[in-house]
Amino acid sequence: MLGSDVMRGYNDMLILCLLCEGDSYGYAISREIERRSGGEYPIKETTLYSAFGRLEKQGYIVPYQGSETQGRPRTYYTITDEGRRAYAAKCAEWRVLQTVIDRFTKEDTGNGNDS
Amino acid sequence: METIRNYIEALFATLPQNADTQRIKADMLSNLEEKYHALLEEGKNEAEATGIVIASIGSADELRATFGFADEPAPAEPSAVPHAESAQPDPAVVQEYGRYQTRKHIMIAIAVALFILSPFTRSFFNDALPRETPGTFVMFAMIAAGVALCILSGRKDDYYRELYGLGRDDDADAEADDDRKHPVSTLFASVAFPVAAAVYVCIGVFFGLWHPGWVIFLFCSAVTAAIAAYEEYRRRN
Repeated sequence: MLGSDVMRGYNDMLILCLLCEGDSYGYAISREIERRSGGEYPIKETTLYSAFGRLEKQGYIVPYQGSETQGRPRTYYTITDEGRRAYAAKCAEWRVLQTVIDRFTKEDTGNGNDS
Repeated sequence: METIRNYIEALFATLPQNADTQRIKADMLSNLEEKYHALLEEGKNEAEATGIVIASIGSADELRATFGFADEPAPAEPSAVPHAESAQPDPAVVQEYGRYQTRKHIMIAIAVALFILSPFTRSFFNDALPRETPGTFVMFAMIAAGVALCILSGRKDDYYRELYGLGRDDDADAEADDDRKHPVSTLFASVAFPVAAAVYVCIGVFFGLWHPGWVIFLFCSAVTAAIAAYEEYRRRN
């Protein structure tokens, strides 16, 4: 199971990715993140909402009041063009990071003298 | 759900109160409520669902980084909610708590069954055996076992409450809630039941009225429930 520390810096990317596919709200996003991570990353509520706040301030997402379900108003989020650009940049950054980290990943650390 | 609401209130008490945080709080609550009901539909009991939801909330530090005062240091935690952001209940503990609740209810049910059955075993043994002593002994042994079960079943409540850091867990423990909401009926019950037990033993021993005598407990329960219902009615109006 992945903790918040490991995922720091990539929570925004997960949320932007899901919002690229369509507007959504808090519970649906957290449920979807857990589902797609195969249960490996159950995102904490506070992590999710501080990411919302951050993305909102940066102008990447915009909240709006959605339809009421069972008497409760729901805040939906929609992604802006700027948000899509930020998502693309984040994806590119990840490709680079992945390549770099891969070069430092050796499954067998036994004697350390290989390659 | 009340426990979850209190937890969120405590969590947001450390943040600045403005339109942003109020909106986030309301939204987070409605999400958690949805999650809570989804867990109940999956077949979790209320205590388990409450535990899982609270374990998924996270720490106020993260919120403070985004919504907190820009250049003020983090405010000191109010001592009333020491666990609100530091100790997250471990999911394993949550599961254990759910199992413990079930065990507790079974133990209390067995204890009540022992209380009710105890007078019958006395007459059963007395019919079967020539002397009176063993039957009476078995009856008292059953009552003692019942009392022991009652004590054992409540033993770990405080431990779990402390672990959750929630003080009195009113979702999981309706009795604790009653203390606050229904002072008169709680007081009545705490006096009436020991008196009833004493009366029951006396009329049983001196007049042999074990059999209709047990009705006194039903009577006490009924009166307690009636007082509680009246208090609830008064409280809501």
